[in-house]
Amino acid sequence: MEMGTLLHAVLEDFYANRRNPMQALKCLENEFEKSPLALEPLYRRTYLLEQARRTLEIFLRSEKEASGNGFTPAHFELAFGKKRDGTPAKLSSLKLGKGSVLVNGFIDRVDVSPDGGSALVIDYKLSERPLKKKVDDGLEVQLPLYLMAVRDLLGLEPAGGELRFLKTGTKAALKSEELKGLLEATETRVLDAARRIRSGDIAVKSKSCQYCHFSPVCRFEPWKLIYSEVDKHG
Amino acid sequence: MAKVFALSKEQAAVVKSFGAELGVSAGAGSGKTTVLVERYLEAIVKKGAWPEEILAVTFTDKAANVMKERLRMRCGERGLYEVARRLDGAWIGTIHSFCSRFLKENPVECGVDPLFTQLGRGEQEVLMEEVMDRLFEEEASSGLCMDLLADAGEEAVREALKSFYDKQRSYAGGEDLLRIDDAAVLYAESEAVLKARCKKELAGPAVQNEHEEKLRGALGRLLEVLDGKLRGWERRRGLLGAVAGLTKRSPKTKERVGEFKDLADALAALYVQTLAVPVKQEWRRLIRRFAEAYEKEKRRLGTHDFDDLLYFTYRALSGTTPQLKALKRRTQERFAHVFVDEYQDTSILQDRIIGLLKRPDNLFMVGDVRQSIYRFRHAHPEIFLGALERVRSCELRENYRSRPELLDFVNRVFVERFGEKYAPLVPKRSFKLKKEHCLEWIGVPKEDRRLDPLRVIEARTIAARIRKMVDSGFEVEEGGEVRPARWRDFAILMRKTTASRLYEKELEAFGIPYFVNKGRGFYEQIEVADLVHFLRILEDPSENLATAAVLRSPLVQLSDDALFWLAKKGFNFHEEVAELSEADRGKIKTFLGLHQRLRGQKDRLRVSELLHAVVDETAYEAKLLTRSDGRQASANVWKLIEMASAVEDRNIRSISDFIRYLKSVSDSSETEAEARVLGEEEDVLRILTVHAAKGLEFPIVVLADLGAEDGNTRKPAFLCSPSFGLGARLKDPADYEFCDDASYSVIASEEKRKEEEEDDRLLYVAMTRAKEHLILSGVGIEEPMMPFYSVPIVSVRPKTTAEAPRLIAPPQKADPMLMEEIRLRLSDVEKEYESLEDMSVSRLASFMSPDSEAWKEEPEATPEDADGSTPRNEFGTLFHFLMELSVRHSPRGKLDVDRLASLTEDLTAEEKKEAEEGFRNFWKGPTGLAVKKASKCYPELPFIYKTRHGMLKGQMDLIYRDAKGWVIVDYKTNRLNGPSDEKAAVEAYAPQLGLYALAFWKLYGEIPKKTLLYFMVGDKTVEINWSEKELAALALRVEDGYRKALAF
Repeated sequence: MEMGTLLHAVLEDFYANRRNPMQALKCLENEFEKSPLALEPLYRRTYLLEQARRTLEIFLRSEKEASGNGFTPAHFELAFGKKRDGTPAKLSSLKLGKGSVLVNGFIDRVDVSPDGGSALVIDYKLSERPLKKKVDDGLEVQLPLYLMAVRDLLGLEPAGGELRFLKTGTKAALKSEELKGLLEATETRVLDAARRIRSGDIAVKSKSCQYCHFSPVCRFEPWKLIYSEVDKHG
Repeated sequence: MAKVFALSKEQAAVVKSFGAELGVSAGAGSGKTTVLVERYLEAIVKKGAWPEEILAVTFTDKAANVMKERLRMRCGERGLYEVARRLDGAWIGTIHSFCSRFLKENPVECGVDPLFTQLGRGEQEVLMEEVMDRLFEEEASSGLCMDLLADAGEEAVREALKSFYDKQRSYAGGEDLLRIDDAAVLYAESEAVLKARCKKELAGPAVQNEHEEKLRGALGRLLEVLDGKLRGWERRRGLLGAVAGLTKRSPKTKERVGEFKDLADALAALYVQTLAVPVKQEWRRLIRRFAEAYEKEKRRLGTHDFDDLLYFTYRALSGTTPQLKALKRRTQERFAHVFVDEYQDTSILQDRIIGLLKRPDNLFMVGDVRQSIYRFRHAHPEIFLGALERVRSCELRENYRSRPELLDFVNRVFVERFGEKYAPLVPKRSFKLKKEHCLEWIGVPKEDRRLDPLRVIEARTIAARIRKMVDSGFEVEEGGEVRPARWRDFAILMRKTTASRLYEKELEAFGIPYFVNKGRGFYEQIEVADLVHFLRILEDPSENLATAAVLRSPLVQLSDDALFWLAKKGFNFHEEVAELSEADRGKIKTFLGLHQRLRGQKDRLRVSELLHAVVDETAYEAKLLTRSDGRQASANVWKLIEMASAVEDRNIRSISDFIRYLKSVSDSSETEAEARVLGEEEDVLRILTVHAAKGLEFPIVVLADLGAEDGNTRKPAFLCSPSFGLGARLKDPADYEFCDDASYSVIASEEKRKEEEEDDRLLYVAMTRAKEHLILSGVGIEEPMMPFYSVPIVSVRPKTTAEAPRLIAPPQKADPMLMEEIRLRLSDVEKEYESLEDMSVSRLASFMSPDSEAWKEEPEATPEDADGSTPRNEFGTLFHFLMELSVRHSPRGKLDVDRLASLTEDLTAEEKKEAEEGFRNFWKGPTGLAVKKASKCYPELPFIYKTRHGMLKGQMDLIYRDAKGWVIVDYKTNRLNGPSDEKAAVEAYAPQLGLYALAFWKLYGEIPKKTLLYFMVGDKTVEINWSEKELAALALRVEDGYRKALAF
């Protein structure tokens, strides 16, 4: 977790201030000193910093190779609704369902097309994870929400959404032909979830417990998910 | 095994053969234990040895006990009483127990503290981790070491350090495991070979063809690299880059492309081998430093780990000082005979120790190479194979366990897998029943789906099949008798029990009782996690997640609303939260009180004491017991407390130490089983791993989960073997991708081959456990080819849960308790959180009666009592007290006059008369007389009966036992007006007596013969009887009553 945050900060600085890789490494060291990782024993700090340095190196190299689609990085850590420190952001919240639900968020990076009309939303993830399955299962809401945000708040046409994996320098993209349907489906899903919560329905109906740390609180045992899958297939 | 001690010819030959080293290859079910026991007796009777002169090494403690037991029995039969007596001091046990005894007898020579303590596996892990913490700290300035950590990751390095230490010791030192081969010669030779091969290919006639040209181009580039100046990683990249574009698409060039690619890959691995030298040196230095530091730490603490026992024994026996040589001689002279069982599973170190103990002619080894399944504990079946060739050897091939058809199948399967050297088992046991088939196959087709949902289909099919076999009276044979199969005749065997929960759940759904001795899972159990979270917040109250977990758990049972408001305030309990309900406020107050008190004492109390306090003060166990798997849950809680108290004696005292200990044992390969709640002897089906089933046999074996995927694909940071030394994988600094060096890849493929061989052996062990019937089952397993196996096999291929049988039809006489149990168990997926409440019998009874108003606990105070007479309820209490005293009195039924007078002095004269008359009438009446003669008798007996929703508390006025059974009596002091009034009262009081009867039945296990209502006014006794059926129905109504009460 901490490693991801750290690298996010370095990448924001890198793009926003048009740094070179050497400066990025310097920035990494500075950020490292500020992070909770610096409280670890010396040996762990030493090798973790080395691992972070390698990750950054791989990622920047892959970014360099990947550039050439014409889109240029334009926004970094783009906050809408509220900034990370809780103060109001320049952009307002994303309004769904005629304003019945407001969504706040931070977008790692938005690349804009040469004509300035459409946007590619990019989210950094530390390690690789499957995107397609999540989209198929209806669990991917982050990228679609970001795309709605750039559409409604920046007036840019959604051109695509990507996860970029820092450790491997690889990426996973939403299918452009599915984009429109996905945005609509996501809005419905979010509104539905909001309605359920507002009606007091907070029963645990998880579809995935993979990245959730709250299992001790919700007391839902993830192996039970198998049975919902069995039922789905009849 | 039939209890016939007439030995077969081949058995007798082994029993009687002495005078030379002997190795016996004993097939499954060949009566190995019998042979061991009889040969032991033979050594005593014919060779004049005493038990203390015979060393018998078994593989497990259990096997040692079985052997001792059998020996005792045989000594008794043969009148060898002195031998039987001396068996107590016999050397029959595992190699570890032998070594422990040896070290304690010779501490000075062996250089050990005679009072050494023994580290458990978990403690060993904790100690090793601590040593590593310090080691890495000290190495923080070593660039090489830090690179190593950055490359492989800290976890992998820690794993490798531990496993290297372990492995080296299993090799009795194993310095050759750390050999570093720079492969310089091989490197040069391989380059020369590849170069010559390229030149030869290029010298041939050029063919005008796209593929041929591509190949020639690649070879040209290869030669350039080989003749060029690039070194190190660049040379490797150049080499692989040259052949990277080659494909095997054209049939003409396919073979040559393959050849050149293989040559280039092999050479690339050799380049890495050269580059790996400094990394391996660093690794070797680290391993040695770690070993040294760990051993120093153990010495400092005066403690040994498990394998130290072996290693120190080995060191002493192989020592070269005159003193140690004398010790070795003495030890050899002491044992006239050395018997070793399961020789196929010995490690090199163990074999060396045996080698130092034996004389040239007195070793007897038994084993079965096909059953060697302990590679992960460094077993080397090759040792036994070698011994069988070296010494006099013979085979036991006759099988006294299984049906001939089964053995035929096993023989055919394994002659295929083990090859020509496989010696077929020869069926010798005869069976009365003729069976149409004794093999079944359940294969769930593997679709493009995750494994687990398919496993559910498999599990459901198995459960349905087992249920059907028992319901339809499937017959098995035992001791020559034919009888219907019981649950205990079944065993479900799996390689690993990690997925067993899915199978358990289906067994539960089909009402099949089972016992599983399961590794893992203990720490993930929610009841264990709850308590660990409580410990966490005792250590650090700012852990919000742990706080929330505790608050929502049954420990506190805070409502979700309250949790929401508290979370909003960041769990700042000092801040006033207006939205909280009264009930929640109370719960928070109680929780904070307990937390604060224990936190204040946390450094004084032991972890086990803290846990005890938490469990006691939150009535946690009672709450757990209301769950459908409550017995298991509460047993797990006690097991956790036991564990805490066990490790406290060994320096693991603080909360953080204990949590670290738990984590390390849960991560380690040594697994902690859930607590046992059922004995093995009960009539339950058993689920066990193949390893645990070794040496056991069952009438019906289900070999399940054959489609399990091999979970562990993570490659270790380093590998080693005596033939290839150290193998490493390095990261190419250009892209940080792992590259295996030559040693690493050759050791890895060797390991893989050995692992596959072990898989075959595991299957052999599993299949030979079955006596009469074998069911093979799994997801995506290949269907056996029927004609080939010659025996009939019934096979099914369920594709969906719909095809898999659903629940069985309810039995003819539906057992309402069981059905309720099944219904609840089936519905507990996504079960909502259940609230709990404890209740008194009277309160519950009021919720159970159809008309709640009709029944009153005791007569209430009425306005007419205002005339100076005693309120009727107080009168009742007093009468109950009188009765209690008189029952406690010896002899029963008396009360001295003064006491009676003092108790009744506040009563009006009329009341006094009423009380005294009632008292006398009772004791004169038939009930009173029966009580006087009762063999057991308890007045005012309090009880707590655990229901699913809470505890039911109550007190029975009187319960006694006469010749026919138990009788429960309840006194009533109501004044009744006429028969209609009496009828109403009896109807109203009946549920109360029913609850008493139910509670007594559930707690004591016997249904009371009768229950009695005694109306003291009018001396009237009403008898109400309860059948099992009525009580079962009542139990359901209790659940209902609770639901109503909770909703109320």
